[in-house]
Amino acid sequence: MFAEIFRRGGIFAEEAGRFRGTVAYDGDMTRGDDRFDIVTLVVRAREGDIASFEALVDEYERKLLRFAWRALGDRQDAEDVVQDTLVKAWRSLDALAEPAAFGTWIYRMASNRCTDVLRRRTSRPSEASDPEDLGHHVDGAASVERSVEARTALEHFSEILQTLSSEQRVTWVLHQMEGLSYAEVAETLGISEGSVRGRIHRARTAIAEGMEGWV
Amino acid sequence: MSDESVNATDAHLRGIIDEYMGAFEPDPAESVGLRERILQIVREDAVLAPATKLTTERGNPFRMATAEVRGIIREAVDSVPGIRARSVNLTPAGEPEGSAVEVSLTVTMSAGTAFVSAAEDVRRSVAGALIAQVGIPAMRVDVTVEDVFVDEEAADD
Amino acid sequence: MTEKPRVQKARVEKPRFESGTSRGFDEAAVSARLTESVTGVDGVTGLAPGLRDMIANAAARVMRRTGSEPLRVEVWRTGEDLGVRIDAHLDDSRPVTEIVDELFAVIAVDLQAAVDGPIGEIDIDVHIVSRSR
Repeated sequence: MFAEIFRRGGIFAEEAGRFRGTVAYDGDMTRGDDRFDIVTLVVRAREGDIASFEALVDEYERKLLRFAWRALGDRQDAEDVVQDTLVKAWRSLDALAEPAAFGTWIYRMASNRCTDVLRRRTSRPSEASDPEDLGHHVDGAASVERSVEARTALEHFSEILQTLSSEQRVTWVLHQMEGLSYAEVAETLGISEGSVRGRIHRARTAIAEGMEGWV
Repeated sequence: MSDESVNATDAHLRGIIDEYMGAFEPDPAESVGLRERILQIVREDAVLAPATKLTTERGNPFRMATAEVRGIIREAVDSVPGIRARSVNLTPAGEPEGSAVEVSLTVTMSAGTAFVSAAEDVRRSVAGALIAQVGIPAMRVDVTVEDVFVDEEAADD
Repeated sequence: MTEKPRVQKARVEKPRFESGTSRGFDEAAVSARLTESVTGVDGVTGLAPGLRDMIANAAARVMRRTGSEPLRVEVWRTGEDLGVRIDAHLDDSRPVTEIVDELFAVIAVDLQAAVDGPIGEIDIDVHIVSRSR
């Protein structure tokens, strides 16, 4: 017995297009010679298909790692955020109402975790990432001891980023480094565009003032 | 600081920002461990995943990870040209309950596939896989097409 | 006619011991024997951790070590009744129901041989965790 409900491909193309227009994360995944759309992969993963989830991990893991690393300045912390985010995603796929919004959804989870990590850090100099060791686990004491003249603009910039609030920093990284529009950042973080604009403005002002004379 | 000078500094900053971004480029080889840790946890979770209650022909009851039964069904669906399985729903049926299953699926279909014959193939493939792999007959297989995809390889013909 | 692994209850009253101990039931030995038989069934590639093992392994996982606890078939006795639980990984060499039927048969034989005294109901919980293709 067959029940045939044929929904026009056009409607779904439209919906998929809306999500692609808002947040540029999603595309077709490759699985061997086959391409599975994001909705199929998420629905299958949500029903326990590990292979489909692997394809999602393959697509998002590196992007998320790069984002978390840029936001946190510490590789180990970034890996922890990505691991926790993707495992949580696997365990709570049922909570995702729109499979097509998977990209936005995990970026939101990763952003929230990054914000939490940044908030938990105390503002001791030893917590600051040493720009020379960018990408490695850090002991910032050395940078404090170096003379001001020896610091490069990049190192100074990295220190300025440390002074931003957790929310400002994560928001700013999403916009300036991940290349998301204000609307996309708003959707990712689940806040209003106005809030995004405010955070970015304050971040930019702090960075501009901090970098005065360095650029 | 005026908005104007903020914008001006932004432009100058672009070089710094690009340099900063460049410092954080994950080496794929280095993050193999991360990927493996994630998938290992996912696999371990399988023990706690929901199970479907089934019964052998001899009347012995057992439970089988629902994800595994769905996987067998998905593979059977995917083997039909032009069809990809999306959602698989299965319900124990028969007397005693679990001696048979009812299956309802959603699929995506390649544009240009003849649906009626493809659906027939899907039904046959699923029923055949369930009997051969699990040992349980399918009482019913419903197929719903949810979306259409363009088969890249076929499009090149 | 269904083949159910069941032994008729004996009429003789067995001596009562302290709760938790039943004469003629060495849990470790019975478990070891069942484990060997079960893993010897064609199509069974291994056992999976049961709930108890998962909890024990949780700590190991937090420290990012893979848990390597020896896995075994769980068996317990309540009065004269016996309970068995198997979490198994299978391969695709045989239909699942065929393997399940053989597991039931093998367990019944083992229990009757390894457990002293009367056996009441035997409750076998077979849980197929995965099936590699």
